[in-house]
Order: sequence, then structure tokens, then C-alpha cells
Amino acid sequence: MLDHSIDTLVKELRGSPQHWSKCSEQTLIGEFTQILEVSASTTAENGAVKYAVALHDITERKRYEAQIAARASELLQKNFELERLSNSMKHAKDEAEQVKEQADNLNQQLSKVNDELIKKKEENEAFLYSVTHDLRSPLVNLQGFSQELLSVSDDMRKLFNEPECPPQIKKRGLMLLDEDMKGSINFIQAGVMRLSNIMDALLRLSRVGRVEYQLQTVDLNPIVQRIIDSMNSIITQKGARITSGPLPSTWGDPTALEQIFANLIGNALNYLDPNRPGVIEIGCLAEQRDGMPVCYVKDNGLGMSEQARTNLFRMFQRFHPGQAKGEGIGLNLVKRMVERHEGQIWAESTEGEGTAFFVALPNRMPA
Amino acid sequence: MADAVAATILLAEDDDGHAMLVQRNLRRAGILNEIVRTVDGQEALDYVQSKGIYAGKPRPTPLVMLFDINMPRMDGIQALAHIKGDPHTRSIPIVMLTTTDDPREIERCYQAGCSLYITKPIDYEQFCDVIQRLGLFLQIVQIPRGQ
Repeated sequence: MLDHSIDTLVKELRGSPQHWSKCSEQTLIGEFTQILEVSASTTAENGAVKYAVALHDITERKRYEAQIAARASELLQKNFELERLSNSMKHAKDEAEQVKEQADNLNQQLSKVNDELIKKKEENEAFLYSVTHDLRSPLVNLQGFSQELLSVSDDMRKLFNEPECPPQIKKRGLMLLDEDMKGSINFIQAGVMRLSNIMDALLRLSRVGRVEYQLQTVDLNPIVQRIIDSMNSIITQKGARITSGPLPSTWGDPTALEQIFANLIGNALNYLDPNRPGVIEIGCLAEQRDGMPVCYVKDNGLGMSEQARTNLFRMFQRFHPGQAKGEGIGLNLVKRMVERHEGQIWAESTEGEGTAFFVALPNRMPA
Repeated sequence: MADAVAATILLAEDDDGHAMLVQRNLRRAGILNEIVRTVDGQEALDYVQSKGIYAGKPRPTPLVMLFDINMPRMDGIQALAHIKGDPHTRSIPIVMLTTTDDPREIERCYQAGCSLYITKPIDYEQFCDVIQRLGLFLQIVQIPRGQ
């Protein structure tokens, strides 16, 4: 049903009578637009032409139609926008998934590398352990038989001292025994003992990673007091004064914590300056580090150079070899123990003035 | 005590030097017992079971054994497990005498049924002290006869 103009309608009616046709016409009445539908037909009857015309007011209908069309196109537009939005969201989602996948991959790689590192570390420690034990066995022989040689030389000395031994031979023999032989054996034994000490130190190191920690809340005060008491004789001998301020409770293994502080306090005592009365202070800083209380062991001892401080925690480093015995392993051990507690250790030092060690240890079970 | 003195001591030790030092110091402690040495765990097992080079030679009783751990062919812990796993030889006292002081190794040996675990010190004075004390201990300890 096409809408025609009235003119077309009239033409149509003339051309083909008996045909209903329609057209619509807009009429402006004031501000109001009225739309009329004109339906007309012609009939020829007895030579006379009859016209039938019907008029319908379709204003409302048209308005509705227009509204519906506008609404439809609006919806279409909305739909289009929604689709576009949904597409870009899907895109974003894809991207997010990709990123997540990459992150997962990276995570997996990291955890693999981490596992490998842990395995490597365990292998290294096991290797160190077995090697040092295998090396011990020949040392038992070296040490044992050099001692046996010493007792053989005692027997030989008796022989040279027999009255029937000619004086020339006695003199030469005793000299060989007491100077050459004894000196050589002493060198062998000193070397072996040093090797043995180094190996024991290595064993202790390898054990740090293997000993299982019994983690618990530990009050450091009685531990430090016990250490000071046990070092009483050397403290008196050195004429040193040790003060211990209130210390916090930490979350850790009591044995390891005792070793950490025993090492630091022992070091402080060992490396005091013999030219002034030693003062060692143990305490806790007012401010925390990374949420952990910080304890310190501070001395007025020999101190160390910047260079020495950089290498402080490395294995087999010794800065005052004449001052005390040791293999240069204690601080490395301490660092490993502190790190196993997820704590931190650092030092400040001025050569000729003293050294302060700081240990930050967690004070509660990790969340 | 006189009975215990008669016990034969079997020393399983692959290191000739260690074997000599152990025997010497046992003698110094006044141990007069016969000391038999085998060079590994397998030979010690053969000795106890009268097999291999000890075929046809019944093992003497009473018997006490000193085992090193690290030995070729069969180590001390394997030999220990074999002997403790056999009802005929289970009651023979076995002392582990080794350079290892690994706590896990010590645990394994006691689990496997050793009577004592002793670490050989490197320091010779301590070494002598340990072996001689072991000798004194062997003189007073009761060892089952007729296993």
C-alpha cells in the first residue's frame, strides 16, 4: 500500500475505474500536522461516473510509526555500540589472559629456577660434606704416623744415649733427631691441624643449610646473658666491660640465635684494641628495619678499613690474623644463619675506633 | 673378665694406616686378644659366615667387630645390616669406628643395630685416647659366647 500524492491518485482513478486507491496528504493546521489518508474509487454506472472517497485521520498512527522507527534506529545504534563495546571488552579480556599466561609462564620458570637453585645448594652442601669427610681419612694417617715418628725418635734418642754408642755418632744422631726430624714433623703436624680445622669449619658451614630449625618465639635476653657468662674468663683476662641493654624477643631457632650472638660477641672480644680498655655494648635500636627489631653488638676495638668491611662476610677472610685464632669462617656462618631467619646483618666500622654489627631479626611468625 | 679377654676382635678397615694405628693403640691399652683384619665389609661378612677366603674356617667365639664405614665392595653399614639381619649372627657386638661424624650416618648405624658408634679424631692424641678407651671398654664388656 503505497502512499501516493492526491494528483497521482486522480490520474489513477481516471485511467482505471473501479479501483480503490489510497493516498495520504499532510495538512498543516497551525503548529499541528494532520495526516489524512484518502481512499477513493470510481465506478461507471449507466454512463455516470460515481466517486467514492473515504478519509482517515492517520496522524496518530504516523506519529507512532515515526516514534517506533526512531526508537528502532536508536536501539540499532545502541546495539551497535554495545557490540563495539563487547568487542573491545573481549579484546581486553584476551589481552589480560595473554598477560596472565605470560605471568604464569614467568612464575613457572622462576619457581623452576628456584627449585634448581635449592637442589644445587643441597647438592653442593652434600658434596662439601662428603669431600671433607673423605679428606679426613688421610689426615688421620698423617697426624697419627707423624706422632708415631716422634715416639720412634724418642726410642732412637735412648739408643744414642746408650754407653756403647760412640760419642761422634751420638752427637750427630741427637742433632739429626732433635733439630731436623723434630722440626720437620712439627711442620707436618701444624699443617695437618690447620687443614683439619679448615675442614671442620667447612663441615659446620655445610651443616648450616642442613640443620632443621626449631622456630619459636625466643627471648634474646637470657641467651645473651648466658653467652656473656660463658665468656667470663676471657672478659676478665682482657679487662673488658660488657653491657647489655634490654633485647627484644625474636622468631627463630634458639641454638642458631645463640651461635649468632656468641660469634658477634666473641669477635668483639677478640678484636679489642689492647691499648685501651675494651667496652662492648649490646642492645636494641629504637627504630626497626623492614618491620624487624634491630639488635647491635658494638665495640671500641681495632675496627676495620672500608676495604675490609666490604669483604666482611666472605669465607676465609681474616683481617687481624695475629690477633686471634680462627679460619675466617665465623661471620660467613653468622650471615647464613641470619639469612635463613630471613633477617639482615650489616656492620659499621671505623679503623682504630671500633665496629658495630647490626642484626635485624623477625619478631613474629611470618604471615 | 678373663672370659672377655679371650674374644677375637675383627677389624674391618680398608685403610692400612688406620688399621695399623688402631691395632697399635689397642695393644697399648693392654689388649692381648687376637685381632683379625679384613679390608672391606664383604670380607668381614665372609669371615662371620665362613665363606669366601674364610670357607671352612668356623668363626671364633666370642667375637667382637670394629667396622669402618667407607670401604670398597661392601661398606660398613651394609655389612652391619647383613650381620644384624641374620638371627645366627645378630648377637655379635659391632662397634662402628669411622672418621664420619655426620649425625644422619650415626642415626643410620644405630638403626641398623650397631652397639657403639665412635668417631676417629684427627688429632692423634685424641685418637690414641679414644682407641685406648675403646680397648679398656672391650676388656670389661660382656660378649655373648656360642652364637
